[in-house]
Amino acid sequence: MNQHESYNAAAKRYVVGGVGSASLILITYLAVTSSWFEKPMSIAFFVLILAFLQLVLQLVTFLHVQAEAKPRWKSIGFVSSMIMITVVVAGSIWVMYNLNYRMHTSGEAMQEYMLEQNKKGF
Amino acid sequence: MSTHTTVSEKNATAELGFWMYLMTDLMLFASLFATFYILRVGVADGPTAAEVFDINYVMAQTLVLLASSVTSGMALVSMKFSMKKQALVFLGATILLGVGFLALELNEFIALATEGNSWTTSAFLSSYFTLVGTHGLHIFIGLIWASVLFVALAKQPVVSDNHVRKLSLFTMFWHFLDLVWIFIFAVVYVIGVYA
Repeated sequence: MNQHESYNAAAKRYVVGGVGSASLILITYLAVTSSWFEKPMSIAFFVLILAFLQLVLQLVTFLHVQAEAKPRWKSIGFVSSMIMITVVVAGSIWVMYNLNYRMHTSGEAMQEYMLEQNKKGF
Repeated sequence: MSTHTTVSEKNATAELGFWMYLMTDLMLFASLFATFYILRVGVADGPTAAEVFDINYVMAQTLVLLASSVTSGMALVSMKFSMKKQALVFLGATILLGVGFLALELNEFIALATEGNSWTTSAFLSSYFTLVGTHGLHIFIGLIWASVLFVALAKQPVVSDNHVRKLSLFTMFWHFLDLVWIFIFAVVYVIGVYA
């Protein structure tokens, strides 16, 4: 963190971050309790955007990432982690969605299909 | 090149090392998030998210954790400006709010389990308990850490750079746990229930 920051400036960061985060949480709460959106997809999208806004707000106000001196190892580490996370999370969801879509035969039908395949041998 | 390291260099190195640990922890949480998101529809004969979660209760939890994140940051700022008493007050508030958060979470877990909706009920509940429980375990470890720091700081007559560094690492950990909670709140409790 910046060594030359004054006490007031540092305290202000935390107040801004706290009030800002609380407002974003409140907007999320109001959006779902008073049904601003109808489609589940729009709700999910809206809520995730607010969550990412809060992430950025807290990174700036609480963790003070922008004050890091060059070379910005922490920021580089964070960005590369986010890339890996996107691959892991989006990849897992995509693969499982695809698997579910391609294998949407239910219980008994699936059992029969598997037995049939078994008879054919491997 | 100088042959000795300055205090600020030492602090920067410690912070970077701890940050790297936090990034690996982030990976752990990411995989648990992916697992939860995929398994959340697998409710078997158990309840759905909408049947077991109460948004008002989780709102209280979220705001308590946010407040504790702010007070932990204020404790660090106070320490940096050598206001030890104020730092101890803020650190104490952080611990109390953290205990409050953990109590709310355990209360929710116990209520779920005693109603017969434990982690053995469905894939949805297994992944829920794993994700939220892992976060809760981090909070628990953070509380032990903060308490040890509190006692150590209270005993010291003068604020040294070492104390500032120790507190700054804890504060990073605590902010990180609040960051993870933002997504638990959004994905598990809001999207899980309403979308």
